[in-house]
Amino acid sequence: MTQEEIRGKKDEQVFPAEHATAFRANDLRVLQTGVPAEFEEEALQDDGPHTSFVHKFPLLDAEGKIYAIGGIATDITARKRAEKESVALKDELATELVAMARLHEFSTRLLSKAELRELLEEALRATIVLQNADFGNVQLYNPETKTLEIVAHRGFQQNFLDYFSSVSDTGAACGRGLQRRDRVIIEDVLADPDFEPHRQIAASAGFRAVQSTPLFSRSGEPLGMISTHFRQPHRPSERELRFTDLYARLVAELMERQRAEAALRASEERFRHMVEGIKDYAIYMLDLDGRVIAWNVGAERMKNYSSQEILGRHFSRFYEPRDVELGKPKRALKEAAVAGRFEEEGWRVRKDGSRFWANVIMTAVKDEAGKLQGFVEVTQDMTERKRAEEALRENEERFRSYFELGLIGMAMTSPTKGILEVNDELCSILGYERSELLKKSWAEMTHLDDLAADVAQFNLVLAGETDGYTLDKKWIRKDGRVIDTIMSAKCLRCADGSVDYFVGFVQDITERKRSEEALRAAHAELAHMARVSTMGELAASIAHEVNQPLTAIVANGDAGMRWLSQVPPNTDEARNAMKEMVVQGHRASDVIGRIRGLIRKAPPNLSTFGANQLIEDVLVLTRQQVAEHGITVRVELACDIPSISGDPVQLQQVLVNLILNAIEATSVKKDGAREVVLTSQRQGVNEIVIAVHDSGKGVAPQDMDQLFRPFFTTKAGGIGMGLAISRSIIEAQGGRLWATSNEGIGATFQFSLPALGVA
Amino acid sequence: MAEQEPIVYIVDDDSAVRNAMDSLIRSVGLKVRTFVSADEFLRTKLPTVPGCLILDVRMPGRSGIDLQTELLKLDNPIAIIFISGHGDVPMAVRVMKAGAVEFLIKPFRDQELLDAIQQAIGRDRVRRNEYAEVSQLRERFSSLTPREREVMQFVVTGLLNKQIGAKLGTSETTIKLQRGQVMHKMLAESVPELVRMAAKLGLPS
Repeated sequence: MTQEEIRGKKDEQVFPAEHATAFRANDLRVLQTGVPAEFEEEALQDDGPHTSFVHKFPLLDAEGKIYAIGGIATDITARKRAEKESVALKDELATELVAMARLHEFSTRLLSKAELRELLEEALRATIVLQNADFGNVQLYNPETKTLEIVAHRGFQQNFLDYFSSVSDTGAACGRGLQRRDRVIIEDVLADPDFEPHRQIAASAGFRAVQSTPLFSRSGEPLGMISTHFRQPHRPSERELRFTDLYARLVAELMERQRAEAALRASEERFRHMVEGIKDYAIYMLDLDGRVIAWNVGAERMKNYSSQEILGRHFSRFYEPRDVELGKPKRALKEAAVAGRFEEEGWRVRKDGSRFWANVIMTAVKDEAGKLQGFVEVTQDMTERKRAEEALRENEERFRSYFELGLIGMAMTSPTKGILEVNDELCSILGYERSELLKKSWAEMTHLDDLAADVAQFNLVLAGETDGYTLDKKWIRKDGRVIDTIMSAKCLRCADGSVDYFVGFVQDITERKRSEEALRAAHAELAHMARVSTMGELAASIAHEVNQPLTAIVANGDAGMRWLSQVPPNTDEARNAMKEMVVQGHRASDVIGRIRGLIRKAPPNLSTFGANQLIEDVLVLTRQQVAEHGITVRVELACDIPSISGDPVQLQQVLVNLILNAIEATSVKKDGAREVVLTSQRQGVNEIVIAVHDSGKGVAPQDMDQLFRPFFTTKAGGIGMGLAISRSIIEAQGGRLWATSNEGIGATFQFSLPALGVA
Repeated sequence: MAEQEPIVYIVDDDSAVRNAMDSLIRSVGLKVRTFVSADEFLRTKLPTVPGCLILDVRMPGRSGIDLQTELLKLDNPIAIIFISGHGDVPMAVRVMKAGAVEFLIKPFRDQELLDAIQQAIGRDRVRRNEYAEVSQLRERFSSLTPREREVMQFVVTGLLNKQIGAKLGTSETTIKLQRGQVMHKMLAESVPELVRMAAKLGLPS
C-alpha cells in the first residue's frame, strides 16, 4: 500500500478485523495512560502475515494534551520466524542429543561385550529401547542353509520361537528384509497381504506391527537380522529408525570383527597345534636378541631341552663353541633380519653335547608395519641324510676304486649302445686292448656252450623278471684260448623300468677251476681209497671171525675121522666132533650175518635232502673217474621228486660204488657207446628210485642171484663186498637195492628209498 | 723111574677151537689139558711130565706171545706150538727165534699139528732129562762144603793138588783128601766126568 492509499483511513479499512481490533486496543492503552508503550503487532501483508515491533507514544499539544498517537513500527517478521525456528531446533537438538547419548551409551555397552551371544543380547535390548518396542528378536544368518535362525529374543513364547526358528520364507518381515537387503516395516500385520500366512502366530504372540533391520558385513554378506515388534499398529519414527541404522551398523561391525577374531583365534590355535605337534622339525621362536620364546615338541625331541629349560635362553647354545666364537649365531640373526630369511646346513649341538647335522631355516617375523618382531627357526636333523650321502659318495668312490683296482674284470654295458666302459683287468682277462673291447659285443666273445644260457638270463633281465644273474661262463680270448669265469651281471634301471645299463663282473677262474678239478680228483681218489681200505679192514675182521669156526670145523672133522678109524671106532667121540662141526658151521654163518647186522645197526646220521642233490654230489666225486675212462655220463632227473631221509654219506658211498662199478663195466667195452645213465624218478606214491644204467657186458643170468652175496665178484681184483655192503646200507634206510639186465647191453643197478612228506 | 705119559696143554680163548683140538689130539691117544687163558695156565701147577703147549697167538688179555715171554722168564722151557688166524711172517720169525717149535695157520691140517706135537714132546723129553740130570748134579754140588767146592773148581780147571794147596795155603795131602770127597759126593768116576758135570752146572772153567 502506498501512503496515498493508507492516509486518512481507519485501521478497519486497511487491516483485517482481528488485527485492527488489536491495534485499536494498543492505541487506546497509550491514550489512556499517556505513557509510551511497545507492542508486537501482526499485520497481514501481501506476502502473508508480518509481525512488527511497534513503539507507540502520545503526541502532546502545547497544553500537554494528547492530540494524536505516534508509532514507529519495525518489521520483525523475519526475526520472529527465526526465533521460532530456533526454539524448535533447540527442542529437536535436545531430543537428538538424548537419543545420541543413549546410542553412545548402548554402543559403549555393546563394545564391552566379548562374546557374540552377549553382544547380540545387548543389541536386542538396546534396539527395543531405541524403538520403544514391545518385543524383539535377533537372528543369525546361516550361510550354509541360507536361513535366519533366532539366537536371542525378548517377550516371545516357545511356540513363536519354534515357528520362526529357521526362516527363509519372504512373507515374514525378517525373510523379506533378507531378500530385499533393506529394512522392512510392517505397520499392521492385518493390513499386509504378504504377512497373511503368519497372522495367526502374530496374533498368538500378541503383535500387530513388526520392523526388521538386516545386518550386513562390510563386504555386503548378510550376518543377521534385528527385529522389533509392537502390540499396536505402529511405525517407528524416522529418528528411531536412523538410530537403529547407526546402531545396527555398529552391531554388524562388531559381529564381523568378532567373527574374524574367532576365526583368527581358531586359525592361530590350529597353527599352534600344528607347530607344537611337528615332531620331525624343531620349530622355535627367537626374540630380537636371539632368546628362545617358543619351543615345540620337535625341538624338544631334537635338542633334548624341555621348553621350561630353554625358554629365555640364547639360541647360541645350539651351536658348537667354535662356531659361537666365529660369531655364527649373530651373523645368522643379522642376515635373517636383513634378508628376511637365512638358511644353512651345519653342525648343531644337543643338550648332552652330541652333534647332529642340521638344516636350519631362520625367518624374520615382522608386524603389519614391517617392524621386526623376532625370528622363527625351523631345524631339520639331516644326520641320517648326510650319512646316507656320505655312504653313497663312499660307495661311488669304492665302486670307482674297485673298477680301477682291477681285482676283478668289470664292465658297464648298455643294452642299446653296447660296451660303455671296461677296466684294465677285463682287458687282460680277455686279452684285448681297451679300445678293441669297446667295439666288441659280449656274444661274440662268449663260448658257444654258454651263449644260450647267458642270452636267456639276459632276456629275463630285459623283461624285468630279475635284476641280475650269475653264471659260470666260458669266454674265448682274443688269442683263441678258452677261459672259465664266474660272471655276474646286475642292471640299473631307468625310471620307466627299462634297463639303463648293466654292470658286469668277470672273474677268471680257469686256474681255480683246474685246481678244483685236481682237488676233486684227489677227493674222489681219497673216497675210493677210504672205501677200499674200509672194506679191506672189514674183510680182515670177517676173515678172523669166520676163521675160528672154520678151524674148529676142520679140526673136528679130522678128529672125527680119526675117532672112527680107531679099532674099534670111537663113535661117541666121532659124533661129538660132528655135532661140533654143525654148531661151528652155523656159527660161521652167524658171523656173516652179524657183520651185516653191524652195518645195519650203525646209527645212521639221518638228514633230509633231495635225491637229485645226492646224484649231483656223487657226480662231482666221480667226475675224475668218468673223465679218465672217457665215458659219457647222462643224467635224467625227475624234477618234481620229493626229498628223502637218510645218511647222505652212506648213500653217497652206495651211489659211488654203483657208479664206479658201472664205469668199470662200461670201460671194458672197446666199441660202441660208452655211456652211463643216471636217473631219478618217483615210483608209486611214496618211493623214489635212483638208477645207474651201464653199457657194459651185463650180468650173466647165473650170476644175477649171487651179485649181492658177500665175497662174490667177477672182477680180478675185487673182494666182492661192495654190493653186499651197499645192499645192507640201503636196507638199513628202509629201501631196496637190486639189479636188472638191460635190454640190449649192460645192466641197471637201482635202489629205492622212501620219500618224505608223502601222506 | 718109568717114563711118564706126556700131556698136551692147549691155551685158546675160543672154546670151539680149543675143544676141536682137544678131540683131535685125544683121538691119537695123547693126554690133553685145556686152558682158556694165559693167566689160567700160569696159575696152574703142572706135573713134571713131558709135554708141549699149543698156544693161540691172538687172545684177549695176555696174548700167546706174552705167555711165551713170561715162561722164558720163569725158566720154563716147555715146547710151544703157535696157532694163528693169519700168516704174519715177522710174528712167526719172532716166536720161532724165541724157541717155539712150530707156527701153524688156522685152519691147519691135522697131521701138521700132530707132527708138531710129537716133535715138541720129543724135544721136551730130552730137555726134561737134561734138566733132571742137572738137578741131580746141583743137588750133589750143594752137598759139598765150601772148601770142597773151591777144590772142585780148581780141579776142573786142571790144577794139580800141589798147585791147589799152594793157592789155598794148605798141604797137598789135605787137598788130596778133599778132592776124594768131591769125587765121591759128585759120583764122578773120573776127572773128565767131573769136568763135564762142572760144565753142565755152569761153573767157570
